[in-house]
Amino acid sequence: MSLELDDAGFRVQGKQLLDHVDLCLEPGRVVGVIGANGAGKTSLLKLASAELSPTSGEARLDRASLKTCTRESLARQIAVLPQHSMLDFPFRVDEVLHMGRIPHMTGQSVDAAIVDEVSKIMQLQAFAYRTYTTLSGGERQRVQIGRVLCQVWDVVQGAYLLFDEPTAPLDLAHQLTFLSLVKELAQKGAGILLILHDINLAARFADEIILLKEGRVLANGQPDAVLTADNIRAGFGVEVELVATGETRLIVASPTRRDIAEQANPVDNSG
Amino acid sequence: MVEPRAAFIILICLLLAAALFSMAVGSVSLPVLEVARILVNMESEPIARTIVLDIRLPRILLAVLVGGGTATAGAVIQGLFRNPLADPALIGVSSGAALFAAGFLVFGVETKWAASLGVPGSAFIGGLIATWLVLEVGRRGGTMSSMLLAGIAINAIAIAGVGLFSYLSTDVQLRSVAFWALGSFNGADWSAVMIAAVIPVVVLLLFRESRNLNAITLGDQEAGHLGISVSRLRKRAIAYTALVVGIGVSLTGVIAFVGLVVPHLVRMTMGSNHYVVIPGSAALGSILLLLADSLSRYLLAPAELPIGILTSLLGGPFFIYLIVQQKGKLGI
Repeated sequence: MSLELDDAGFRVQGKQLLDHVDLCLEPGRVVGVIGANGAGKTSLLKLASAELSPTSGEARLDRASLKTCTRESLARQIAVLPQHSMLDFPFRVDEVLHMGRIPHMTGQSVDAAIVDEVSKIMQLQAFAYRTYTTLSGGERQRVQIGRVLCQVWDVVQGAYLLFDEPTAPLDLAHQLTFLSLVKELAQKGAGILLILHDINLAARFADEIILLKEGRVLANGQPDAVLTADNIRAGFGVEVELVATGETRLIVASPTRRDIAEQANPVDNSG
Repeated sequence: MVEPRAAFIILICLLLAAALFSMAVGSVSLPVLEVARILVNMESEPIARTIVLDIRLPRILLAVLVGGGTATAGAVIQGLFRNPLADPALIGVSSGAALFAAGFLVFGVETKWAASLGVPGSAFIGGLIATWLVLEVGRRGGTMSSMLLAGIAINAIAIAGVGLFSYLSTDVQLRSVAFWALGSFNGADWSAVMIAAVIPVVVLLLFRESRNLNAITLGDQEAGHLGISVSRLRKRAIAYTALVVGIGVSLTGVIAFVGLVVPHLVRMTMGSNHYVVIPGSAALGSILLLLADSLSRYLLAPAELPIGILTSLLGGPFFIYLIVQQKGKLGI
């Protein structure tokens, strides 16, 4: 059981957006994808979610090529949170959550129970009957995450959840709640792909990290092995310092030598 | 927000009341009680009977069917383009129909059947051709905005064409082109009602797409990830919409604003869920067009105001009011 990219490449209008990329999402594991803007993170997610077909190599779900799977069957197993939401119609929040149940024929009472449970977990009960378009950016994101969770809530075992920068609009507390929830879902047997900008969050919550640069995999493996000062310099063009804090270590960006000197006492409130 | 079930009960009562009222008003006004007697087949005056059963009843049914169909088409097009300002006219169907109808009125053969069949027939074909053009340009452009822009361009071309035909026409022809472009239920008879009877069937087909239309408001990508084939859904829904609007325009001419304003009113009061928006728009569209038609017969009786003028005169300012009053709530 796995969702895989095998030596996948994607080329559009003469531009090679991805080249020789391997990815293996397995039940129980969280894979974090990091990289500079335009490194190909979103393209990678689109190949894995069958929204795009690789122009070289292959994308597979449980050994079958994604091209041979129907949209309907994929929707029952793979849930995706894109980067931007287009929803501009005044739907009620609970109606948006219910849309996650569209691929399933589980009936109203099951769907309602799932929507209820997910709203509790995403702390959406307070505005379940409010209009989506009146919510703030972070609240909307929580609703969209909730919708994606509803899609596979009853089939977590063997499901794949792909999130494109899910934490960007969330406040610190909700970032942590969400990522802990993601961990929990992985323990229940889901395979998870997370595109994250915050390297420290990625280090803390991912089992494996893929660092992309210009469409190629620069490094992948365990967070500690990938997130070295050398790799981050190569991937992002930024000097960093690794600061030990208890059991983990924090990655602190240091644009200049002078800044490093000033940061002798490491900042202690990073998530 | 109003509870949908309560809202539908209110809408159906309103529709029945509007129909009864509409049967009573006109160049000859009849007491409502007399109308009721005729409808339940009790003894009544023969002239009144003819007025109600052969003149007003088909006209009312036509207004109900065309109003409901046009408003539903508006709701669907707005959902499909994720734009509450979209209108069935955007896919070119109305102006294409108008162009071909004008062409037939000016250059068509003058036979007996021409007036009753030729104009609606060519309007329908014109509507379909314009819609196909918009779709095709949109497909080549690759994005939804290219389709919207194609709609604007084709509308402009068609309107210029109508202008050209009017310029080339004789005075008598000009009068019928103008009347047709303004929209009117004047030609309503039972044969028109028979053709319009297709509309509720197509509305039902559109209602069955409610779930998919809900999903597409999230975005094309998201709808795809929910297992929906967006390009096929779009083709299907646009074909149905073109059919509904094409039939409507071919029978009654161009009636503006119903497809734009009615779905807004429904969303404001009953929410955005298409399971509610589609039947709600159908009901409210029927009621409003029926009332507008009664008004158009009443205001200048025994003559009548072309209904397209009335809907634009009432709908335009009301729409501006909505834009100012609702600000963010329209979701624009």
